[in-house]
Amino acid sequence: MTRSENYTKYLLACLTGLIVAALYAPIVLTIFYSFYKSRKGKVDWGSFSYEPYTKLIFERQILESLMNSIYVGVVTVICSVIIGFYFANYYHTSKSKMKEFLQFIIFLPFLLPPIITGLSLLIFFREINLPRSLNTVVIGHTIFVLAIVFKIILNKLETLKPSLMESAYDLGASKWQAFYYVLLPNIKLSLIIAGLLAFTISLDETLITLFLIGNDTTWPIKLWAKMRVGFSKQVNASVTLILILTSLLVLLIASIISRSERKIMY
Amino acid sequence: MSEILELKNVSKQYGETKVLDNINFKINNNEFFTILGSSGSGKSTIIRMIGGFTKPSAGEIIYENNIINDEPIFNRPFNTVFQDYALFPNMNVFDNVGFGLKIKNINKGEIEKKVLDVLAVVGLENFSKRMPQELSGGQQQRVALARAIICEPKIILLDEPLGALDAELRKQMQLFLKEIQKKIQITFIFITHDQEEAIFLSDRIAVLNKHKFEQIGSPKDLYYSPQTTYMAKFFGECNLINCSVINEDSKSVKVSSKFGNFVIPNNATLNRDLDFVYGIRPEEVKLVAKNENSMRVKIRDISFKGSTSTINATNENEDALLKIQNISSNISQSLSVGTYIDVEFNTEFGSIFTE
Repeated sequence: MTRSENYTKYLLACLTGLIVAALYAPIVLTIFYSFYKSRKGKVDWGSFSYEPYTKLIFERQILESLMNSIYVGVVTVICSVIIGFYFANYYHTSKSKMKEFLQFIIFLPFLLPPIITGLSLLIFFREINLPRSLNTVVIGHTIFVLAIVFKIILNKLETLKPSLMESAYDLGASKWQAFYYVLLPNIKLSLIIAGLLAFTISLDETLITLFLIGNDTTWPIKLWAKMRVGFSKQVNASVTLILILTSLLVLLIASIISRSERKIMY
Repeated sequence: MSEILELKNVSKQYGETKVLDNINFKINNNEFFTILGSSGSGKSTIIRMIGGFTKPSAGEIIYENNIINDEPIFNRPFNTVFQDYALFPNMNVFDNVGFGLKIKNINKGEIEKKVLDVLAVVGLENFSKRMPQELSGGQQQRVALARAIICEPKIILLDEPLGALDAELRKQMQLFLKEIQKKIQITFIFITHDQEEAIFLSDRIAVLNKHKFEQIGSPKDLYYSPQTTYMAKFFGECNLINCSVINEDSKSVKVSSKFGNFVIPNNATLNRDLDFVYGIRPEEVKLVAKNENSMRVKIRDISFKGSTSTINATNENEDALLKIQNISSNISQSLSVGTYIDVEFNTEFGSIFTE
């Protein structure tokens, strides 16, 4: 290797490092400032404390909003995975021409600006006299994440050979038995991944939620409201916690995927 | 032999596309029956209709005197071995094979005993804990077969089961299939596009061409008594010669052709016109010394095949070709291209086609 090639290599490495730093610095700083105080732009190294975390426990509003978000997320996951599977299976097995239309309808709320989706849902709920609550948020989120859940499950179904279910029937299985013993175990992974993704999307969804929420509040909306009146360490602390939580979820998804890929490599 | 399954006037259409046109056949108990046809000829559709995966557009599928057109898949006493094996990837070999019994709520001890028995039959007794992905193509094929056998079906349907295997393994599996069918005494309906495979395995073969059966019969029947010119050319080669009757008596018929006149036995049962096509296999053309029944042909080329040679010859006008096979190379060596030879047909092996 010549000297100039060496320089180029180091230059590229530095550049990559800078870009990564620029991308992740805000996140690192958020975590950092959940532990330390700063005064006039200078870090007060002696100010390390867990206090914002312990205080968070007593900050009922943030915790309550977090519980709300988890409730919405979990119910959204259950609804979207069940409905998503049902539609994906229909799309996969049906010969009807209507199925393209069905796919279009499923994707529409995801592709439209969230503001449109949120607003039209709000108008719809008003028309049918459904009061705004966490449940209307669940409906909104389910409609929003359905496209992704549908697509993930459909992709998996399309990798399965049609003969798989046929052979289950051939060996005497009823529809339900074929589903339980053969189809479900083979698409289980895609259901889990779809569910985890649906949960993360639901957790940070703000715009649609803003339109559909009533007197309750979800976690991102609470944070947003709190930031308007000034920063507090508890915001940093709760962001850090959620960051750790979602990172763990993503790690979980990644490890599930890589484990299943290794299995297929045999 | 008793009859187990019959297809009566069965047709299948997808929209405007005709896949099968008026299919009729009967299958005997414990028979190895092969449906032979090129890809797209509709052969898989026949098996899928018998298995219950698709319904005939017209006609009846009759199993032991009952029409089973509308019988659901899981009620039919047949099991299918799919071309892509269709093993359940989430279960090991043992659970795959035991699946049919588990569905029937048979107790665990009995399932275990039966599964191990059947795995021994297919030679995979040491593989019960393996996952399907860890097996070779041939082994997966055996598991698929074991999974069908264990349900004790009356008929096993095999949809091109050897299609995905390489030539060497294919040969092994053919032998294996033939032996196992004798051993377990179950009717096999086998689908293939491979003639050699069909001839090697089958008790009877049905040849499918253009959505219809050309002929159904034992491999020997199909070879020695083809009923159509398609069949004559299907297995091996056949010289097809246009003939006209000159005169006939109760024993023999004298006909004229482009190669000259020759005499064939008069088969009164055969319904033929005065003009017909005569089929004679290349190995049934003999070189003879010139006599009153012989025909004179001109050698166009000689191809040396080792101990024997093949000769392509033409008539005087060079507008008709005659193929002659199994000529001892000792003789063909002394012949040269462009010279004339005298030939006779082994008329007891010839066929008459009236189409």
